[in-house]
Amino acid sequence: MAWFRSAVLAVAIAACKQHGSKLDRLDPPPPATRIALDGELDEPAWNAVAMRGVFEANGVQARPYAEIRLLRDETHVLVGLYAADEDIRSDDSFDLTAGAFVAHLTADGRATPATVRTAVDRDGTLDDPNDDDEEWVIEAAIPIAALGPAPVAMSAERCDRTKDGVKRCSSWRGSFDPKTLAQIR
Amino acid sequence: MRWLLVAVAACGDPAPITADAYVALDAPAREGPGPGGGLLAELRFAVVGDTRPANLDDTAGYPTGIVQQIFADVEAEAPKPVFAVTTGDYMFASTSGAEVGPQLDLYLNARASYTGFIYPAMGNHECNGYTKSNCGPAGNDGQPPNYTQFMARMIEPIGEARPYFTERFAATDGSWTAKFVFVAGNAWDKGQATWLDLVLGEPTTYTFVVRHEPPESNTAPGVDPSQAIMAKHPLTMLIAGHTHTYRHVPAYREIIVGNGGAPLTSGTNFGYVIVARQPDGTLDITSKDYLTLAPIDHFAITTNGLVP
Repeated sequence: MAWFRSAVLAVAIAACKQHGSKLDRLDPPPPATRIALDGELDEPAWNAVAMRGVFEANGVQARPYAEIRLLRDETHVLVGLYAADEDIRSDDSFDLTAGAFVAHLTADGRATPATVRTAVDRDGTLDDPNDDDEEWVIEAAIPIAALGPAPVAMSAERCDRTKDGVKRCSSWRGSFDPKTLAQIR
Repeated sequence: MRWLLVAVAACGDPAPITADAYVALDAPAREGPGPGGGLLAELRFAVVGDTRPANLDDTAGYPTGIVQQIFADVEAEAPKPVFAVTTGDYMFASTSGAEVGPQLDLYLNARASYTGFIYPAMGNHECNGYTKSNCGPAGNDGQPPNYTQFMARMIEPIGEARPYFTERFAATDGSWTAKFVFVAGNAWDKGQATWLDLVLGEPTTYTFVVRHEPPESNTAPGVDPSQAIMAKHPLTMLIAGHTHTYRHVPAYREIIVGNGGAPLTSGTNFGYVIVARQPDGTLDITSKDYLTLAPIDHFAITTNGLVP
């Protein structure tokens, strides 16, 4: 019956996504896996227990697609950022605001401020418009101590210029209490 | 084309394809599409792809609702296309995990909202996920569950034994013939190269090549070699996916149909394409938005793939 459970979960998530920028968290509790900060959301916890948000533009799911996932460990909020992108550029970026903390994370791996640790994985070629790229993913670790008191208001924004020359911006906004995020060992 | 109908009428249902066998030109002498092709009153078909979730093993994030709506849209087309081709990437599952089956369950259940016959191309995610991957008996990446379950659940049910195959169609009134040549760029070997050269040499009014990767995605092992073979033969249209958008690329006589549910890379919405033969022999191609059904693109081509 694994397929049935998956189908029910998919329907539930799709229904939740209808409500916009809410973060959705799935039970059961997190597996005890350490997240490798490598830009690949391949640890089961990212799918199983992370809180999620889908970027929107003008009230509908963003095109190009982007999403955010949140976990935590003992000292950091772990952020997964996915960006579908047909032409990945060095200066493509996410801008994050979480409480008092502001960060700028780029597709070529630059991150400010230095207190945020990041890794990026790209499926495509950087700064080459002659082929079709697919996506880039950032894993970031933000010190919980830098966020300020809960609940933490958070926003993530992204702008991307698609091959038709149009600049398309999208965002996600929400809030969370770090204590309620699924904690990784 | 009378000669073809005679041949068609004589051939009966095709025998199962054995390894590396080459089947001489024929179209199964049955009304409607099925294993091997068939006889059609009209050439009208749908194109759908790619359909994977954004993240590895993210079965809960499978785009089930989008896939289901797209195929329901195709079902509701008037007249309904009697068959569809899909451009690959039906899953995003690790080769060592347990998500291949559940993701294929979701896809096939969603796909069932269309009742016509479906011919699926293989994508890189039906190998190990990397565009450069090469699966199958002769592939460096072997036969992971992504490959074996794709073969067992999507290819063998349409009467094929290999991820590359051809489907032959003919008009019931003898006015046209068409072959659909499915290239598996991620299961490439010398046998497929020999087969492709032979099958593309068959004379037909229309030649469609269905291959997951477009020409630019040439890290896939079969893209450059198959492109070179295709250049020696007539081509009406290359139908590709891989890039998660819709695009018409006249220079390659190509349409990219990758906006079937996978995370969109451009501003184009999810959708599908309808290809319909017109009384004058040209093909009318319409890309449609899956929610509004409004045309995203609309153009016509001749039998040689050029815009008239």
